[in-house]
Amino acid sequence: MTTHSAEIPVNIEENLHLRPMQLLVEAAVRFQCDLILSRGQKRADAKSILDVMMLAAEQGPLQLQANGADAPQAIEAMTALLHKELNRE
Amino acid sequence: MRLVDFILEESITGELRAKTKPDLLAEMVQSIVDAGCLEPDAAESVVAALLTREEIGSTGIGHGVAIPHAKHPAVRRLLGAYGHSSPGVNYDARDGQPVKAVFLILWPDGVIGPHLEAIAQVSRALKSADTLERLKLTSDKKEIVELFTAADRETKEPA
Repeated sequence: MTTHSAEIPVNIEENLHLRPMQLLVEAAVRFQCDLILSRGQKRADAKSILDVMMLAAEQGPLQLQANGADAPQAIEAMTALLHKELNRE
Repeated sequence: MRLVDFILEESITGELRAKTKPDLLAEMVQSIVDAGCLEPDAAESVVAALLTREEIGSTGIGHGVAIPHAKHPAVRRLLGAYGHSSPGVNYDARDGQPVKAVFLILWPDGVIGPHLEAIAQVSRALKSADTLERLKLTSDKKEIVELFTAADRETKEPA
């Protein structure tokens, strides 16, 4: 089992809006590995929209952790997606 | 934040009449007007703002739930409405499922983020116990209010 993790820095003004959350979950479910998104004290299953939505009110850096065979690909794809989509809404 | 802090009890609709997304948004905005929390002449413009947001991507998040939301200068504070549709409404949801439970959120222009607190509380509530499944099944306003109150109690964070 391979574990890969990456921290995705997000400025305090850059909130996690609904659209990037939806895109994130749609991207996450394409990977086999477990994906955990966390912010502050809150952890969310990145494959569950209801879970990820709970992070909407949190601030500070986002962290993404992947655990599984395709973890490196998942981290790379989702980090790129978040950097691209945050701040658009 | 609790659901009851922003969802107006007067703006809870047990059975929506609307069959389409634009009609659904108009019906729910009208419920906020009827509650006395939005000027009637602003309703059309608020619905337009909600539809503009939907063009970016449907706020139908799947699981039969939609969370339409928009900021608008005519809105004085964070406001919410809830509507239920037994047959469900085609909402271009991400999973293609008709929407049965709709949480509509409005907030003042120029203010960053209060709706995100509201969205977070909606998700906490929907994840608690069997709230989501029961909301999708009930048209009874009293039961909806009880479900919201119970979910708020269960999801209250430690001080």
